[in-house]
Amino acid sequence: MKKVKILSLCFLCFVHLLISGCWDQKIFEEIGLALVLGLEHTENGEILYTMTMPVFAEDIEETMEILSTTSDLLRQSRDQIRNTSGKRVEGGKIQHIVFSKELAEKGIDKTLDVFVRSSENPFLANIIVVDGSPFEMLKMSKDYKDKPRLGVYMANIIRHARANAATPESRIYNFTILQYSETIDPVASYISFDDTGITIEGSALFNGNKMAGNIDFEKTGLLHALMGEKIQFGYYIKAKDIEESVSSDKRGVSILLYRAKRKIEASCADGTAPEIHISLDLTGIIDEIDLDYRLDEPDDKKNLEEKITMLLRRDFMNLLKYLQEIGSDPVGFGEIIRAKHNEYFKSVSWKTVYPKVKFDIDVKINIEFYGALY
Amino acid sequence: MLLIQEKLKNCPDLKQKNVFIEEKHEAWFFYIYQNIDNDLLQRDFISPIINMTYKQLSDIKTVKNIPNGSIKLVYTTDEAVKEIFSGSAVFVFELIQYAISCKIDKVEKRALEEPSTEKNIRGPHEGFLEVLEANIGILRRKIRSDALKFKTVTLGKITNQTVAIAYIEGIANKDLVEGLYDKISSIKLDGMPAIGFIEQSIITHPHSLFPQFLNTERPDRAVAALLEGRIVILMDGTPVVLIAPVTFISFFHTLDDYSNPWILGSFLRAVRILGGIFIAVFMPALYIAITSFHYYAIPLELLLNLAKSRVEVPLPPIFEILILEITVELIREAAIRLPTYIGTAVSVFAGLIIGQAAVEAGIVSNLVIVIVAATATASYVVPSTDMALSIRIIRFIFMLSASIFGIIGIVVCTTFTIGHIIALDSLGQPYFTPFSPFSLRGLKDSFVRLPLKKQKTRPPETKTGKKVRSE
Amino acid sequence: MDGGANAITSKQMALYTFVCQTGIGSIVLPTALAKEVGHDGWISVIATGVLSIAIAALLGMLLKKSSGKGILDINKEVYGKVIGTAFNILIFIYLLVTASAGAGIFVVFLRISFFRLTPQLIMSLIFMLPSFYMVWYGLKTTARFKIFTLFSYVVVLVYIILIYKDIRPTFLMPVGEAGIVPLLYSIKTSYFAYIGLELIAVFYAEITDNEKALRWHVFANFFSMLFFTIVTAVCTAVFGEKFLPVQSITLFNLFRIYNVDVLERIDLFIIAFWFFAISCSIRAYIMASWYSLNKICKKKKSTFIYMIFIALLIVISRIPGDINESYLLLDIVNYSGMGITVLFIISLFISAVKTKGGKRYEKG
Repeated sequence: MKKVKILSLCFLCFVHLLISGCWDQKIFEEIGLALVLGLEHTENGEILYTMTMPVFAEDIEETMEILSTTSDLLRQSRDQIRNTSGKRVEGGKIQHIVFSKELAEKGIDKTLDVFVRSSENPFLANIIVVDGSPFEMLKMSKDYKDKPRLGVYMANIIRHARANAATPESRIYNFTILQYSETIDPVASYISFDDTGITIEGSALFNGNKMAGNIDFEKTGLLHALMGEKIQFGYYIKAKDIEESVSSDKRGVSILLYRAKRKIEASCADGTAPEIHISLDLTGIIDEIDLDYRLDEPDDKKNLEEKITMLLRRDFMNLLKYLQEIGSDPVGFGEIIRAKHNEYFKSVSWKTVYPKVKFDIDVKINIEFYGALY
Repeated sequence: MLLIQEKLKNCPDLKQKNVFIEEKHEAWFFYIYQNIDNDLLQRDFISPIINMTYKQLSDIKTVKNIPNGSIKLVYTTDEAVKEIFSGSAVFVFELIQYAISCKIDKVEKRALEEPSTEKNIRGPHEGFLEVLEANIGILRRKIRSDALKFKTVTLGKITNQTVAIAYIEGIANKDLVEGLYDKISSIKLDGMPAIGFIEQSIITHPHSLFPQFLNTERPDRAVAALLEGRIVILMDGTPVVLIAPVTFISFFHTLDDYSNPWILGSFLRAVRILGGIFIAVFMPALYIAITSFHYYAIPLELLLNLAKSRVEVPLPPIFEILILEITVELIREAAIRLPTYIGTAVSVFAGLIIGQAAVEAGIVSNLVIVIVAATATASYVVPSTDMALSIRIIRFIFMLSASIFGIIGIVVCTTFTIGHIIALDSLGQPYFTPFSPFSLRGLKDSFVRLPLKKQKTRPPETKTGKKVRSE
Repeated sequence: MDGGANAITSKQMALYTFVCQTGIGSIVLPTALAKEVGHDGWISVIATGVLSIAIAALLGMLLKKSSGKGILDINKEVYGKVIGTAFNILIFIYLLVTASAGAGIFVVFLRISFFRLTPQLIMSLIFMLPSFYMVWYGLKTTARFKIFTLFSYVVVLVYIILIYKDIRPTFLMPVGEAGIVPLLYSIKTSYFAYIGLELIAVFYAEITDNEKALRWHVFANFFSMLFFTIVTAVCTAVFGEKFLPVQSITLFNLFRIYNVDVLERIDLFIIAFWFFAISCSIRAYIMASWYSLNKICKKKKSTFIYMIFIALLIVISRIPGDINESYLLLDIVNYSGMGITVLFIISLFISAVKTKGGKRYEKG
C-alpha cells in the first residue's frame, strides 16, 4: 500500500511537471521574439529602447509590433516592455542592434554587457549605427509595402552588402573582443533610411568604443583590403580621374578587386613616430570599361594598370589620413606594433602616437580578365 | 494394457486397433489418428507385425527388421504413452516384455513462404516452418556438412516440446554452446507457445528494453549466423528461431547488405542506421526541446513559418507530439489485427484525420505532422521488430525528458541509454561490440560493410576458435 | 570486487585519464591563466604538461615495480594495517570531495548556460543519474563509455578549424612577454588541469595488461597537454588577453561565436556534445571513490551503502553557496590532489624499495 502511495505521488509530480511546465521552460509561441533592437539617447540622458516583434495571429492585421520604453538599464527596459506586450519578451533571437549616431558617439560598450553576460542572448547580433533615430526608422519600416518584415529585410541587405565588402562584418562578439583589446578599433555597419527603404551607407568607425567617423561603401571596400580580408569589392574610376585629356563622353572603368594580399612592416625608433610600410597585391577583373584603352594590347593594359595603381594608392593614402584624423585604427596597426615591437609600444601611448605615424603604401594590381569584350 | 487404456480415456483422437497374433493372442495398436500417415501405418507397420509369429515378436533382431525407418522398443507404460503422443504408433502385446513403437508421423505443415515481416529483394524467399524436423531439414539442406550439429532437449512439462540448439562444430565456441544448453535444459515451464518464453527464461537482463537475442524466420539469416560462429535455437511449434550471441548492430543488418556490392550495401546500412536510430529517436525530442526551451536555436526563416502554424495551437509541444505519437501507435497496433481490406481503408482514413483535419482544427501544427510522419517512416526501417519496438519506447522516454529538461534532458537520456547498452550482454558477450569494447576487426561489418575481400575474419563476439573464415 | 566487472585494458585506462583531465579543465583554464600570464598561457600549459608527463612516468614506473597492486593495497602493506587504512580513508575522502566538487561545478555550468531557475538539487540528481547507473556496474562499463566522448573532442577540434577566420595570431605575440618568473608561478595554476593522473594508482590492480600501462599513461598525459595547448592558444588568439580574464566559462563563449548559414547559432549543440565529456570527467572520480570505498569496506557491493554514498556526494556538492565558493572548493581539491600525488609517490617508492630489499635478502 505504501509503495502504491509513493508511486502515485511520483506520478502526480511528473504529470504536474509536464502540464505546468518546468522552471526554465520557454514555450515558443508564448514568447515575444525581439528581432531588432533600437537604442538612442533621450533628452534627459536616458536610453530609449525600441523593439520590433513579429506578430503571427491571423486575426490581427499588423505583422509587426513595435514597442518602446525609456530607462537606464537594458534589462529594466525589457522588463518594462513585458508589462505592455501580451507575450513574454525574450531577446535570444535579436538579429540587429541599431544605435543612433549620437549614442554611438558617446560610447556603446556598456549597453552590450547584457548580451555578453547571458548565454541565451546572441553573441552574433549585428551592430549597426543609423544616421538618425532608430525609433523613427522602426516606425517607418512598418509602412514599407514592398519589403519583408524588418528583421528579415535588414538581415538580407546586410548579408548581401557584406558579401561585396560594402559594410563590415561586425557582430557583438568581434566588437566586444576588439573593444577590450585596446589596440584594434572596432567598426560597425552604417545605414540611413527614408520612407522607401533602408540604405547601407558604409561603415561607422570607432575610436575605442566611441564612434569617431564614417566612410562610404566604396571606401569600406578599400578598408577591407587594408585589413587583409580576402573579400571582393568594386572599385569605380571616373574617366576624368584617369586621363585629363580624355573626351567628355567617356565614362570610366569599374573593376572588381579580389585576392588582396597584404604585408605590413613597421619600423619603430625611440622618440619618433613609427613608419609603417604597407604592400598590397590586388587582382582585378574589369567589369565595365568606357575609356580609350585597348585591353588586348599589352602596353595599353600595362598603362591602364599603372594609372589604376596610382589612383588606388591615392585613395588608400586618403583613407589612412582620415583614419589618423579621427583616431580610429580598425586595421590594427597598434596590434602589429604591440606584437612585433613590444618594447616601443610599451614606451608610448598609442593613441597619441597614431596620428603622427608615417604611412607608405605600395599597391600592385594585376588585371586578370576583362570578360567577353576587349 | 489396462493402465494404458486408463491413461488414454477421453481422447477421441486416439485409435485402438485390436489384432490377434497367430490368430489367437490379443494385441493392440495405439496411435493418434490425425498425426499418423495411415498408408505407411497399414503397409509397413501393421501388415508385417500381424504376419509375425509370437516367437518372431519375442526376438528383438526380427522385430528390428521390420521395414520402417524408426523402430523403438519401450519398456514402461509412461514411455509408451509418451511415444503415442509424439506421433508414433505403438504395438502393445502382453506376452512380450516390450512394446514396439514406430514413428510414422505426418504433420500438417504449410508450404515454404517468405515471412511477411522480413522481406528482402535479392535473396531467397523461404521461411522456417512450425515443425522442428522440417526446420532442421531446411538447415541441413543449406549446410551440407557434418560439422552442423544439433543438441536437442525436451521441454515443457505438459507440452513436451523439443528444442534444438544448432551450431557448427569447430567454429562455435564450445563453452558458449554448453552454457546455453545447460541454461535451456533447466527451464521449467508447463509449455511454450512461442519462442519468447525461452528467450525470457534464459535472458540475463530481463528488465532491459533491448532485445538480447535476434529473432528471425529466415533460414538464410540463420545460416549466415551459424557460419559466423553464432548459435541458433529452434523450437518445435514455431517458425521463429533465436540467434545468440548478437550485438546491438546486428539488429540493423539484412541480407541485402551482403548480396549487393559493398558501396551499395554500406549505403543501405547507413540509411537504416541513420533513419532507424537518429531520426526515429532524436527528431521528436529535439523538436520538443527546441520549441520548449531553446527558441533561439530555430533558424530565422523557419521561425516565422513555425510561429504562424503554432499560434493557433493551444497545447504545449509535448502534448501535441504525444497526441500524434499515441495515435500513430494505435493505428500500428490496429493494422496488425485488421484484415487487409479494412486495413487499407483505415490507413487512408487515419492519414486524412491526422493530416488535414487536425491542423485545421488547431490541435497540432504543420511541422509536427511532418516530424511525426518522418519518425514513423524511419522507425519502420529497422529490420528487426524487437529492436523497432525498443526504439519506439525509447523515443517516448526521450520526448518526456526533453520536455522537462530541454536538450540536456536528451543528453542525459542518451548517456543513460548508451551506458545501459554497454552494460548489457548477450549470452555473456558484450552487447555493444565493436564500438565498446572497441574492436577494429568487428568494425569492418558494423555501420558500413567493407568488401568481402576485407572480411576475412569472423566477428569477435562469437569467441570463435577459428578466427579466419574459410581456412 | 570481482575482477570481471572492473577489468580494463591499459588503453582504456589511458582514455579514462585523458577524459578525466580535459573534461572540466579545458573550460576555465584559459581564463585562469590569462589572469596570471596574459597571452602566454599556452607556454605555461606546455611546461606543466612536460612536468605532468614526468610525474606520470614516475608513477607508472613505480607502479610497475609494485607487482600489480593498487595504491590502496600498497598503503596497507607499507604502513601497516591501521595507518594504511587511515591513509586509504584519506584517499577516499579526497576522491569523494573531488567528485562532489566536480558535480557542483557541473551544476554551476548548467545554470549559467541553460537552467537559471531549476532547483540545484533536482539538477544534481537527474543529471548525475547516468553516472550513478554506470558506476554501479563497475569500472569496465564506466571506462567503455569513454570512447564515445572522443566524438565530443572531434566536434570541438572541427569547430576550432571552422573558426580559423576569427583567430588572430598577433594576440599570442610577443611570445614570452610575461617573463620566466610569472610563468613558473603559473605552473601551479595549470597543474590543476592535469589532476587526474593519479587515478592510475588507484586502479592499477584492475588493469589486465599492466606492462603497457606506463606507456599508455604517458601518452594520455601527452594528449591532454596537446589538447589544453590547443584550447588555450585558440581562446587567447580569439579573445585576446584583456577579454579572457573577465569570462567565467571561456570554452562555451568560444562556441557562441560561429555563425552558420541557416542555423545561425550552433553553441547549443556543441555545448550539449561537450557535456558528455564533462559528465565523463566527473564519473571518473565517482568511480574512483566508490571503488576505494569498496576496497576499504571489503564487502560485496550493497545497494544501501550505494544510496548513502550518492546522498553524501550530493550533500557535499551542495555545500558551496555560490560560484565563487564552488571555485574555492575546486582549488582546495586541486591542492589536495597535489598532496595526494606526492603521498602516492612516497608510498610507492617505499614499497619499491621494500620489495627490492626483500628480493635482495632472498637472493642473499
